[in-house]
Amino acid sequence: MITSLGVAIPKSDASREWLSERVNENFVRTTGISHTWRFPGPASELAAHAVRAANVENVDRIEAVVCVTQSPDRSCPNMAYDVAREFGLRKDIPLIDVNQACAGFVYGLWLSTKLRLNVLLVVVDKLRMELGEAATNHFIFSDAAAAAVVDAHDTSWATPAYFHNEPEGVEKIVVSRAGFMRLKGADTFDFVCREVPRFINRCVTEDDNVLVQHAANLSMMNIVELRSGYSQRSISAIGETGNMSMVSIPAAIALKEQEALGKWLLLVGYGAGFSAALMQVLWPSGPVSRVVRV
Amino acid sequence: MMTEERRLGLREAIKAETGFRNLCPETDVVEFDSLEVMGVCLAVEKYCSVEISFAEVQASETYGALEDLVAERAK
Repeated sequence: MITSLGVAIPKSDASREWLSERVNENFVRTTGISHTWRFPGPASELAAHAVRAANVENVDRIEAVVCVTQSPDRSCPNMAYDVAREFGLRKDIPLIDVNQACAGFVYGLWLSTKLRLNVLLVVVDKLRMELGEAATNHFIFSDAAAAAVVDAHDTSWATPAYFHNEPEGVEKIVVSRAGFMRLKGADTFDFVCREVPRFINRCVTEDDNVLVQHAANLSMMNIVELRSGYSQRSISAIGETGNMSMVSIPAAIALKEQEALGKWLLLVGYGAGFSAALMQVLWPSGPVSRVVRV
Repeated sequence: MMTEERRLGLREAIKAETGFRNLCPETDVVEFDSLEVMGVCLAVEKYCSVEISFAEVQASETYGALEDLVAERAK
């Protein structure tokens, strides 16, 4: 069970500086994005804010750290070490980083259930700052982090995860080591709208769950909902978050937690690769989330 | 071919999602920008329950061609 969730969203509204010419009525209506957020510090600092928000009661009970990020402060050592040092975690636990994109939260949850430990799962991305002005699509992204304490000794609260990959999409969304992004928006839109609903319909038969999907843009999300039958059963906070990459899903849950309490949530992440991953989790019946602005 | 009622309904749906900014009824030429293409895809899905891709909308040189594609796909 996910016993606590902390989400850190920067205070700095990047849309005022970067989006003034792009954020018009048409942009907001189509993408659903009216704000994007920028964190000026390192990703490890943003991650630490999320972990503090998760209010880990007893750090000695953490048995593993899984940190999912595409924008670590450095290549080596991995970011899980920063988390372990910052919070004085035990010295006998595995510290794992996973490089995944917008499906990263689902990957992290899946890995946590496989570990069958009490896992501190951290997802953090600073695409907005990493990409910089040179990247043509950088302006849709927001920096953010989330941290979840995942008690995976018992996994009855989670279904198996399913994955879908289309390696021909490898060149469609690329972030180079130098921080430049190449995003083929039309191809990405068609991949998501065509394949993600089929993926959901192929893997999920239940109809008493609520969809929480990656917040890429509102038109895409609406098409996914319509084609998969979830237009009346979904949770989204894209208007408040923008595209937070892998943090989109936990951010939506935390911001709209009242809609999630006691329900099976169908978490669907998708993006670079092309990739998609889904998993269903039973959300606790009482609030466990906290959102901080940093 | 679409019925006139269906045609008008689709046009209103596209207008609602895109603003219909670049449609020129006189010449039937469509110049949707990338945001509007996404809106067209959503409108077609909502109103006609027809799957149409970004690439197909972009490739439609006239609004009539777009309607024909939707009508054909809806059969």
